[in-house]
Amino acid sequence: MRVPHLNRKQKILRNLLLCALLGFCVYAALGFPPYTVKGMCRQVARDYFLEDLEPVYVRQDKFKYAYEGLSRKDTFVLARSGETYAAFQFQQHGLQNLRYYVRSYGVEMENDALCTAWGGTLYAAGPFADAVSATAVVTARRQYASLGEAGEPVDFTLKGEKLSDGAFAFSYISPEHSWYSPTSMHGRDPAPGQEIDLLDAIELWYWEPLGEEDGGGYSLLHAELPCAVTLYGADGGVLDVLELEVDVYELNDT
Amino acid sequence: MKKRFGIRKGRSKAETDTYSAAWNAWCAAVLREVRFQPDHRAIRKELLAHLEDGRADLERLGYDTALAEQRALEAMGSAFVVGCAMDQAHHPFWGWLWRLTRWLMLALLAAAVGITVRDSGTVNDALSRTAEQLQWTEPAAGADRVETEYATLWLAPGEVTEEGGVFQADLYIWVEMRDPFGYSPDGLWRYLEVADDQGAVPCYARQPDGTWPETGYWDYWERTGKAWTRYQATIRLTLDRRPAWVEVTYPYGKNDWTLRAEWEGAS
Repeated sequence: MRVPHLNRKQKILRNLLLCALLGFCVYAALGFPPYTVKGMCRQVARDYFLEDLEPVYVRQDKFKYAYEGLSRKDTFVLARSGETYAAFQFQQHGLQNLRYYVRSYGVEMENDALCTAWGGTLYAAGPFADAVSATAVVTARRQYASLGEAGEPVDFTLKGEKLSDGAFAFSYISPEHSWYSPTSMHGRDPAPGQEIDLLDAIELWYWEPLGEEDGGGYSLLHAELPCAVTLYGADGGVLDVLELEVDVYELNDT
Repeated sequence: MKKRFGIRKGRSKAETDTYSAAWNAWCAAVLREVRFQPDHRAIRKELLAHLEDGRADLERLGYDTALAEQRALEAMGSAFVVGCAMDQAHHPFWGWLWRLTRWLMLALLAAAVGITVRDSGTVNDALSRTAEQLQWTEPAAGADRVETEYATLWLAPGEVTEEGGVFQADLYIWVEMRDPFGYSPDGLWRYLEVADDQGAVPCYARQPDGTWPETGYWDYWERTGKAWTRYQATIRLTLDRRPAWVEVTYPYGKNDWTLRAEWEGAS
């Protein structure tokens, strides 16, 4: 059978159809990644049965590993669906954009208000339209018997920065924080007079030693730390105190 | 007579250099009217092929070469008229659009090959999702069912076993999403709230004193891996009593549905 000769317009149509087909195949093979914040919210809403999920705060960070040609982009989103607040992260590398799993699940949700951490910053999401300022008090202590005697709770008071009507940020890593954290810190107490920040507390009290049968080393404990967020109005008066919790894994993932 | 420009055998640069100056000048004059530059080479080749054919025909009739070349050129007509006609046939808009679609196709092909070669995990993931999709088993007859904006959910009671006073009651849950454009509801299971006839049952988690509970909790695992729209999981309650019924709710967003599973004959 003779192959019909196509004119230029027919070739253009053929090429466009092939492009559409190939593009869809590539997009489907990648798992339909969302490239916009709106798309990310739509995907999370679909997977977690949340309607009208709207972002209240978005943070994007770009970075590049020396051995990679393309840079990566992290997108952290605090979002709201009715009374439910959700926090999730995506990481884009090239054409792929996947939900980032800090723990074994990729989205954190709470009703009324939410506390989470990302990239060295503690975030609180909630109905904060009337609040002008806020503080967060996070309580940490050696709590599991496997790490020694239960220690006294230590409160870390953090000053908040208002990001939007729905979000506050709190920095919990002090400028003097030492990033050299040998495993010898695990399971110990701070030296007398030593100032520690919340990240130091996690290094000290939330790494559990593994037995020889597990290959030795340490494992980060799953623990929810109490976090009391106090909201202040324009006159400095207390508007509300929210008793929330923040996951150790999120605090440790800097 | 309408001239047809079919596909002819091309000639090398050395061969075209042997054409007469008049032919080359005429072709250059035609090409000055054609705005789409990338087609110039092909057009020139076609024009020269026609001129050659004309010359050959005249030489067969007994014309000498020089005269045949001149008469063949005259038969082609005005360079300006031919050039304008060629410009319409090779309009720059369609020409550039055609080139764009070719580049786009090559780029997409390179992306597809790149994804396949450099990140075989992506292709494997797509294939395994398809395989998991096909492993869907229909929800049990009589399973409780609820429709939400994004999916349909089913819940059915499973086996209840007892060993040493500890009861394990299985629940089977099916979720069918309305479209494949999500990622995976693999975190959804931990946000379910489960209650039996005795009250709320917490999800399996380490207790504040560092120990793990032995009874009075529920856990889950997925019966199938990540698929496109269909997911199945098992919820297992570990209790110190046999449950009569279990209700599963989802307290987030605007979801106000409840799925219920009952065991026959349970007290």
